[in-house]
Amino acid sequence: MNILPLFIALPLLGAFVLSLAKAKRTGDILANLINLCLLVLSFMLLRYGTLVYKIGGWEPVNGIPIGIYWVKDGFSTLMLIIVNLVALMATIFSINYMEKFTVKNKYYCLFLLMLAGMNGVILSGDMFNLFVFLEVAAISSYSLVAFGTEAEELEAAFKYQVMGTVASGFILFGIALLYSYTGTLNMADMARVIGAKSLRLPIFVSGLFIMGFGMKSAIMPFHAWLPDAHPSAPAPISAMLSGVLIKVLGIYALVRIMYNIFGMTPVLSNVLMVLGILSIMVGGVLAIGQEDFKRLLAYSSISQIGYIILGFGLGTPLGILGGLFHLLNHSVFKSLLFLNSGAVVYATGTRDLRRMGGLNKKMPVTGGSSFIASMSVAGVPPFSGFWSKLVIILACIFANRIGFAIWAVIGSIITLAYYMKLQKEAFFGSLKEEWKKIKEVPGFMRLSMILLAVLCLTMGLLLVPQIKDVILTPAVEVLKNGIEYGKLIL
Amino acid sequence: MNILLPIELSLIAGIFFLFLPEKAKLFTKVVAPLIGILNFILSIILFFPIGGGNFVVPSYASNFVLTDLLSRFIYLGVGFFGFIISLYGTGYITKNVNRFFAYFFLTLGSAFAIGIADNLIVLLVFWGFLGMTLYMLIQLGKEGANLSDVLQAGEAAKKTLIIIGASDCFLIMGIGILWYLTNSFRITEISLITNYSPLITFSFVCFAIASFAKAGNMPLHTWIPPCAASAPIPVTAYLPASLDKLLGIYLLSRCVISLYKVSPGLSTFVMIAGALTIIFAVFMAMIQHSGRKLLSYHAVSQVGYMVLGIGTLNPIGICGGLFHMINNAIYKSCLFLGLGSVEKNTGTDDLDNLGGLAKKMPLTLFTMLTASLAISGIPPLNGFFSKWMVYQGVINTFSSRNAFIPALCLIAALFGSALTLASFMKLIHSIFLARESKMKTSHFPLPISHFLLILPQLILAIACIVLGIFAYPIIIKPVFQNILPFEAGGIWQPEWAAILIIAGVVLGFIIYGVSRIKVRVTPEFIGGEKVTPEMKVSGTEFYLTIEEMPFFGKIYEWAKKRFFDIYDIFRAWVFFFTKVFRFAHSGSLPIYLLWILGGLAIILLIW
Repeated sequence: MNILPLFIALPLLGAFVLSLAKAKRTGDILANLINLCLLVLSFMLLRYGTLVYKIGGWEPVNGIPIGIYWVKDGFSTLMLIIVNLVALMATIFSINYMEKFTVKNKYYCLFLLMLAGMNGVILSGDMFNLFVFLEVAAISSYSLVAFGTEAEELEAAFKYQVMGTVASGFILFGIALLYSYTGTLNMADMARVIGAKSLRLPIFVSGLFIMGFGMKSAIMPFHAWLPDAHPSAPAPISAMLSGVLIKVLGIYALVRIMYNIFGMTPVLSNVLMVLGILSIMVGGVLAIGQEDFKRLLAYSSISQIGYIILGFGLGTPLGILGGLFHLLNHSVFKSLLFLNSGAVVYATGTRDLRRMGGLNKKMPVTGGSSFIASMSVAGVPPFSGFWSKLVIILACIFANRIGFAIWAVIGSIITLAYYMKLQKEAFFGSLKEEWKKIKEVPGFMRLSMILLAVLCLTMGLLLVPQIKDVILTPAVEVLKNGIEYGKLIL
Repeated sequence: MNILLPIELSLIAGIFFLFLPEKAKLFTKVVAPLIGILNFILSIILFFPIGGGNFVVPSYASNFVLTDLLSRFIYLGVGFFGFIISLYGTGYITKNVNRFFAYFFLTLGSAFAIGIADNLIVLLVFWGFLGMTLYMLIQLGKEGANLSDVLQAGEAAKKTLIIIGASDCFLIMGIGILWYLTNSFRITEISLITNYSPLITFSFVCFAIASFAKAGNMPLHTWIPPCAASAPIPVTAYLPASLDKLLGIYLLSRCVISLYKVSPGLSTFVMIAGALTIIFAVFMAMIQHSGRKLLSYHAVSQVGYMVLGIGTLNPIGICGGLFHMINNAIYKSCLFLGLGSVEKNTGTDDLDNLGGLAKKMPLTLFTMLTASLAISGIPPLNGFFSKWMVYQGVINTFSSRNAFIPALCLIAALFGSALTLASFMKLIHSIFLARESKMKTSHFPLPISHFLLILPQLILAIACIVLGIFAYPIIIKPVFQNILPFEAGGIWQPEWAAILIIAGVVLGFIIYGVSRIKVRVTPEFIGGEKVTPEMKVSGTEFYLTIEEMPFFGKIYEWAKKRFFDIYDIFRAWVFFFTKVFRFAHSGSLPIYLLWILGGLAIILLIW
């Protein structure tokens, strides 16, 4: 049996049930169960190579695909695993965290819709479905950002929505142009047509896509919505947005199209790398000036996305590996940090770093896990972020891009500096009088933070050759093969 | 025996203590020093015989382990300081005992691993990990810290990890370039000539940055004074004073001995960096009022000698640098441990408030005086011997290149040595000889902890004497001449000098005893008046004249405002850009939309 449809059907089903459910605990149980199933299923996918699911069993006519295809290869497996992993952690965290919000079931409903959208983007084999699922995920994320319905959250959601819609418009424009030139929407077929005709069109369309998907993934200069939107959402949603949403809607889609449909060119590579460095520097420099816990993390996301784009932009196998690996790591540690920020808000009710201090004494699990995550982002060995940073810098040097390597190094020094600031102001030092009575957060929140912290500690092992061959190498292969993708699918 | 055994033992002990509840601290206090001693014994067994060493390298690690004499020597040194500080720490630390020993052993294991790592990535991982353990150790803070101490410790820890972490990033660059050029990560396989291309020179500079930051050479030394001021004393004695020196200088000497064939021009730069460090840091040390800070600036200043020696590139200079590294670690940790005892006894390290401890703490006086004389390069102690070798190394460079700059470096080194003596006069005077201040002194709670505090100091002080007098048979001939062979000519003979010195002292006593000169004992007076406590002359003002001289005064003023602190310079630039970028993030939606369109336009135009 082909399990691909389940990745979209299960969360959609859950969302519909939950929109009708009245009982209080339904959401907690159902959402966690579904996410657990999805995580198990996505690990099961590791056993297969490339899988294609044709909806309704419509076979190609004269070699031209006419139906809707869902495609799973190494790259999508990797993305599915990380998306569903972070989603599970976020829902576990939500069990306690979302108590203070009124309509928990609606929250889970939107959450599952967003998840269905993301899984859909990852599995979709044609451009139009990619766009549809992208919008499903994006629209649910707009409403989730506004979920608190305070003034600040609504404003952030409004900005996010306007800018997101502009981006979606450009993406749709690009897809329409591509369709008119190639006469197909199927990505594999499109790759074949473009490869055969060697059109100049993709250059303009690439520009549109870089802008559109760049907005979704918050690459400089399209990042301006993120520092408002991510901190405003409830913590588990921030974790989802920063952890996986920007990567699926933005980076995954961009990389898939650039590598597998258009094929990388030196110009494209340079543009991506420059954008990557810009994001690293601007995001980092702005993060260090923040006094709001979540805003600091949001700017840090922009900066770290820059590293991922830098890795992919290099286009060498090592660069791709670095980009992918950093993508994985960033999902884990950034969602952990957002959960930590949620735990701090849960306990103290504030996000202002200046008011915190010494929280380690009262919240050892939150403090400890955030320390591990911070060290991981900052690139201190042996935590996971160190390894991906190492691979990216080595890849830059090995591609003889010493200048980019130096920028990446400076960026990582700044990263270290603002995470040190975060640790110092929030968790170390002496405990303020007003926080003498706070308690560590409840069990489920602790559980998800501990699980993610363990991942931060151990993910460096993914570079061990035996494990790398199972998880990372298939994904690197897909991207390395470039527009050969078309031939493999059809 | 398995050469990885001490590494495994320390790392496992570290992880074990990390999870041990604080209630079990008595257990820790018994077990931790035993592990320290065991590690030391293991490292001794692994070190001998000098020709080959008595060890087995497990097959899975054979590509990662370097077992030449230099590596095993570092291994032995790490084991020795691990042993000393584990004893002292047991006596000194009363709060957070388990956490202290957890990070202590994680540090020890990593330091062992760096010492014998052949693979640069392995070296890098442990190198970076040390930064984090140091961060956690500084966070433990002083004994009986108040609120501002805690904040200070947090700031110091942050600064330390940022500087060390930044240097690690450069180390990644350096390793990456080596890998790009040679396709290898193994120290034993890489050998590059630096004047061959700017890329190689750049990678050497990256390595130098990493080792300078670790060892504390200028301009990357600025984490050491705040770290020393707020970390627990055993931590300061352990990392900045001994292990970080060992490892930083080890990396630099590895670069010079095996990774690179350094060109004379580059070596001159290294020498200048060393000489400047000697002189500037010693000037800073002279004006300090806090014992911890005074010692910490000397910890920086002494690095200059090692860097200067290694920068000369000739065997005697490099060996002098390495010998000075060991000597410095010995006497500097001895001084810090001595200061720790003083602090434990009086509750302060403020030189203005100390005094008159000579009678109360005679053993500490002995150890600190010995170490002070050694660090000032008084013959026949060990500091003199290694400085002598460094000087010879510098003089040997005269023949191979323009002698002007090396000569200046030599003068700076000699002058620095004199100033070191001057500032230690101040330290010893202020703590032990000045009139007793009003400060209350407590007494050690338990004789056993007193013993644990004094024993390590005595071992180190005796090591200063033994390594000074018997340097040649003990260490120079068997170790250094096997690491890098050099001519023994011009080596001074401390055995004879020691005999002459002892003979002189004995002669003095004999003359005193035979001639029966009358001795008159009177109470002290100044200007005919009896000395009151208000008339106390603390040593801190000995060199006020220098501080007030027009030229030096200005420099000191700038230094106090931290104009020369590379951390603050970097910080200022980053925050400048933060302001600029923040200006652009006005929060207005139309402007953000304009950016998006502008970005799109630029991308399309570039194409």
